[in-house]
Amino acid sequence: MARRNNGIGIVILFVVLSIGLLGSTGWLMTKGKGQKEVLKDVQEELQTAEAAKANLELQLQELNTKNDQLAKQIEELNLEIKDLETSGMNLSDLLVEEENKKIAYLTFDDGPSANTIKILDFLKANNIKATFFVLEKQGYDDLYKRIVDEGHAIAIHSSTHDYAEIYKNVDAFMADVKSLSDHIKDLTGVETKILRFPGGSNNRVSHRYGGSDIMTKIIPTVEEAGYVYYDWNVDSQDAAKGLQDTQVIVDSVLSQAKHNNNAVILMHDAAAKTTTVEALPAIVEGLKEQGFVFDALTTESEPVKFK
Amino acid sequence: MSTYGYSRRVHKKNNGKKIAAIIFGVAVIAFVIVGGKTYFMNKKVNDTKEALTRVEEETIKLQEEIEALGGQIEGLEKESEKLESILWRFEPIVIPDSMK
Repeated sequence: MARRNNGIGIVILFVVLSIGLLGSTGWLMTKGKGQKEVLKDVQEELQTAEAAKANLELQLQELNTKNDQLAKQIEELNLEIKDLETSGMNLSDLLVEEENKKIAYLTFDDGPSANTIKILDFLKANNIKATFFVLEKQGYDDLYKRIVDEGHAIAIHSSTHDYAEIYKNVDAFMADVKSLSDHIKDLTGVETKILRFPGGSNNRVSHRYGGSDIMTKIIPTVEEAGYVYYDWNVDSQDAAKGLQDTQVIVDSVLSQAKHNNNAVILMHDAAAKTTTVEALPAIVEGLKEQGFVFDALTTESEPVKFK
Repeated sequence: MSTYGYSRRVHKKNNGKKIAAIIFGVAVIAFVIVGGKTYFMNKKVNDTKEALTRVEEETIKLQEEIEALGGQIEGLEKESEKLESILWRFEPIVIPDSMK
């Protein structure tokens, strides 16, 4: 009887153990399925991370190459400078901090015209950027585009430059600005916000047509419309006469510019101003000797305003 | 007759033990197989996670290197610009054909 009970007990034990094992197996199988999903996700994450790492390694390689090229370039430039110093040139004043940099802004009003072509050719040949305060003229579409395409600043001067018309009231002035702005945008895609008042911001000619306070009304309206205006601090005198003497233009610019670190130079590229074009090489050479670099005006340039 | 009945009972008892043993054996085998698979799956998941952590750490190092190198390159570009602008001053003025 005891043996019989033992036998049954062993069978029950085996059965219970089997149930336990099969239950555990089932639980493990369920867990295994979940782990499969986890493995898939982690493997995908790893793949993505490895791809990102490979990209960064490539980027680092390219940057290292660029770094080496720049270092070599600087070495060559330093050798050239050394050659110049050996030949007797004193370059110590030129190796100055950014804050003391002298910038000359060549500005040309009343174009475009045939003179603008020569000016653009000269600027291109000498790698100089300038600013053109243009009028609204027909038949010069390619010049408006060329000004923009060659990296210069195109800016608003006036559609008509008719003082009687533009300065009679604020609305007339803004309509004139809008007409020119639309013309420039249609041709070049540029919506310029740089402006120069015909006659300058402190002109008195406007008083004849709009009253003595017309500029005090126009200036805030122009600024509220988002424009930044620039007058000048170097006057080439090329508008003082119908056709100014070339040497007078050169001397005017160079004598006034040396007193400024930030020289905004007024010149004109209207059709009659042929001597301005002739004066340009000497002006640029003289300004370079004075330590100037050249740039085009932007809305962020240092302000030069009469009013 | 009773002898025959006895041996039938004994036969049934022995069958029961065999069946229990077989079921137990199958359960053990199933447990070992599934358990083994689960163990190796877990190991794979852990190894992959470790590899991912390693790659992420290396990626951070690379990003830091790139940032540092970027700053260095910016400095070199400014230096190069400065030197070029100095040398440019000594380049002769070019008169284009349209002005001749």
